Amino acid sequence: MTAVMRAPDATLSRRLIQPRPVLLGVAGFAVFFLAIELLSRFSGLSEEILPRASTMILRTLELPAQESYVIAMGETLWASLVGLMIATLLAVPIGVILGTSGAAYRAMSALIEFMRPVPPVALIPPVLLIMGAGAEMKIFLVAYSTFWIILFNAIYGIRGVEPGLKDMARVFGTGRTKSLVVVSLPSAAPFIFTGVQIAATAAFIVTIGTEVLAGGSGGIGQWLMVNLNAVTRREWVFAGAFGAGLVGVAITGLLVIIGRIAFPWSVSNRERAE
Amino acid sequence: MIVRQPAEDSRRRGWRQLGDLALRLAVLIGAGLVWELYARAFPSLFIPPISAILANAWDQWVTGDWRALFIAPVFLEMLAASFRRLVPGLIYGAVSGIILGVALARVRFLGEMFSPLIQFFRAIPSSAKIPMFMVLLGIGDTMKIWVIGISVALPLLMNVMDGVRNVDPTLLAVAKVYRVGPWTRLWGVILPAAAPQTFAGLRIATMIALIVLVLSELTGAADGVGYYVLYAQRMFYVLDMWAGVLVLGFIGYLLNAVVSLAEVRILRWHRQSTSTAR
Amino acid sequence: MSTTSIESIDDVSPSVNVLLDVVGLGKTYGSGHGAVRALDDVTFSVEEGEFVCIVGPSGAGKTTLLRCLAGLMTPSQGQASIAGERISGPPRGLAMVFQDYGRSLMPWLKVVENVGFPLRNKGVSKAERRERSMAALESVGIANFAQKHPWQLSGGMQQRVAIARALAYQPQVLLMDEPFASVDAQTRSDLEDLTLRIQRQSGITTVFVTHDIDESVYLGDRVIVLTKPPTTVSQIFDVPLPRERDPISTKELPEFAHLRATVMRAIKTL
Ligand SMILES: Nc1ncnc2c1ncn2[C@@H]1O[C@H](COP(=O)(O)OP(=O)(O)O)[C@@H](O)[C@H]1O
Ligand SMILES: [Mg+2]
Repeated sequence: MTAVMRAPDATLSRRLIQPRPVLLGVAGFAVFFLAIELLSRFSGLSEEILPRASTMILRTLELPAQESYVIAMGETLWASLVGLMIATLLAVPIGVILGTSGAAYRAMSALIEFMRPVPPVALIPPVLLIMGAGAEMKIFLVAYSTFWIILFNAIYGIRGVEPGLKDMARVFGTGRTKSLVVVSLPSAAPFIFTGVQIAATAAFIVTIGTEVLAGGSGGIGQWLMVNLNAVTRREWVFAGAFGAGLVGVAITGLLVIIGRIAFPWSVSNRERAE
Repeated sequence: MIVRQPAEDSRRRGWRQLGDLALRLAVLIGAGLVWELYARAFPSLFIPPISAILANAWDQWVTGDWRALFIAPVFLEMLAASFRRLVPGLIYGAVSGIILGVALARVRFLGEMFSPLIQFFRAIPSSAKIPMFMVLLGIGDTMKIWVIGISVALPLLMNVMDGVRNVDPTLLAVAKVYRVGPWTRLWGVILPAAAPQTFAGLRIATMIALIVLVLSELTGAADGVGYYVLYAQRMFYVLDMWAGVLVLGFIGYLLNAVVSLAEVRILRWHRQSTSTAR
Repeated sequence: MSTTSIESIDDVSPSVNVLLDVVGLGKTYGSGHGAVRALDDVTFSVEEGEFVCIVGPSGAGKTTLLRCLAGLMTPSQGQASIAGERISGPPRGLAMVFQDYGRSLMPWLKVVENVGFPLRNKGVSKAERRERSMAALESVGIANFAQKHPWQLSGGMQQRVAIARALAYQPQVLLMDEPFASVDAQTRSDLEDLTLRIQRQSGITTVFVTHDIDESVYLGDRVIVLTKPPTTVSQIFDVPLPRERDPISTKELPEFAHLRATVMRAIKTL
């Protein structure tokens, strides 16, 4: 359970800001890519299997100039974002309502226990059949798979509100609805936001996974598969994946910053302040 | 904080667990009913009633042979193909994730050096790693095991690192003063102290492992549950397709249950010590 | 635990071999601007079988001093030696009871396993490990909690487990860092008497750090008073009380009251 409460990369941007680790971190990248370069040159593997690290890095740097990649990235991000928004808009209110009601919570948590372990990508084939390849299908799959994550965090965020806080609100004569708005929502919000952060990572995975499988749905996934099948453009597969990683890092960092600005009272922010 | 009553009537707890189980069953049946009614109210070629899906699965996968526990060989072969990829991937990933996590946490220099690299590779969506590893290793089982292993190792490693870094320094001082060897320090102090975080990571990692397995089987395979679903979809065997999806869900549920069970057993001390008043 | 008089085997005065020797010990944390001079120049020695109490105000560097003696950190200046050997890592035959009992026990181990933990892989058989652990638990009076986990016990009980762990290790020297600072008064008194009884029975050389003057006078054969930082040894007092002590009758002796006042004055005028 604790796993779900942590944003996976909450420490990332924190670590990137200090100067000494940055230098060491650069050294880490250097060591890794040097090893790849040497392996590529001297292991006897063809460059179609293991391209030179220098080529991979060069191609990664050239990505912004590749129109097809930029468009594909746009399609992927758009589908992820819209799917995530739909899921958030649905899951947060439902989660808050379920979290405040005991009976509904018990029934729903049983359903969530069932739904959460089901791999969302298993639904790609049926959804493809029903909706056909295209943006709607991706958006649906993203919304579906992230819905459960956000719902889970919304319900448990509301349930986990310090009882003392609610008691205090009652002592001061705050009504039930007002107490929800004034006490429960603000204290659950950082936790719900953590759910959105985790869901964002999942959305990216699901979108690209769908694209990899469903030709004709565009996006990074399809871009990677097209380059995979063009023997002379194999190094672009690595570059494309690295590019997705960099975008992933950027998204995570952005969400961490948003979280810090929007929820300065969250526990992780308080810990940081100490 | 909640103070757990140590002498909570075990019979009452038993009843509560039974009630939970009944609720779960009811919810499951309820969800099935909703599906059934929906499919009957809005007949569609692609969303058949669940009863039809189950009946079809029964016909295909259940035999009269009690010696095979009534399970048809095709079903077992399908599962075996998937598990042949999933289990080694999970084990390699878990073992290397734990070893690397401990090493990177204990040797500060290494940790600082490789954390950003690891973060970067973790940020590459597993679904984008599949094409990358297809270039490197082709579309065979080796590729699938590698992608699963790496997708498991990376998040697990970060959690283990976090756990090992946060081992209480007093406990490490105790181990030092009493001159226990490095082996006891590792197995007796560091790993148990990091176990809660490790399990949290393992929980995420197994879910990712299954996602990657399904994706990789959908991308390129000639057997396994994922392939079965894809094949059925291509051939418009809609009932088979949905049955395969249910099997994947079941595998996910099973994996989750195994991790939970191990967690409950190994981390009993953690659950109880944190629920006791502080 | 009873709070009646402490039985001691005999009243033999300790032998005169110096076991622990601290010469010009200094420790600075960090460097440059942020450097903290925790210990400046600390010199004293402890004889074999002696019970020495070290008192000093909070932040005087008492914990730092003990950590240097335990070989957990290297002093910046001077040295400490045990049985003539310079301490450079945790010495053989040295046990320590930490200030923070809640964090020095492994929550995943049962009480008896915690006590036996230091004996793992030490050429002690499993059976003997168990036997020694149970004996140690017996002597601190909590053998019936052997199968519990530490977090199921009260603070005082947990500190008993820590003491039992030290005993089972059969050390030559026992270091105790404000072990009873965070337990209630009655428990504290019980634990003090327990410590004395064990020390008398086993003859383990004990260095006991505290900020409580009463406690230091009641327990010690000698009391070493530390100054405020930069820390040196301010004064060393011999405790002119019989070795057999009792929480009521010892504390009403005029010698006790007098020494207590003297130590207090010494600290006040620092
Ligand atoms: N790890 C450390 N790093 C920096 N300063 C420390 C550290 N440990 C202790 N100090 C400082 O050294 C001084 C002595 O600390 P300590 O030995 O814990 O004192 P005591 O145990 O007598 O209260 C204090 O000023 C404390 O802030
Ligand atoms: Mg201290």
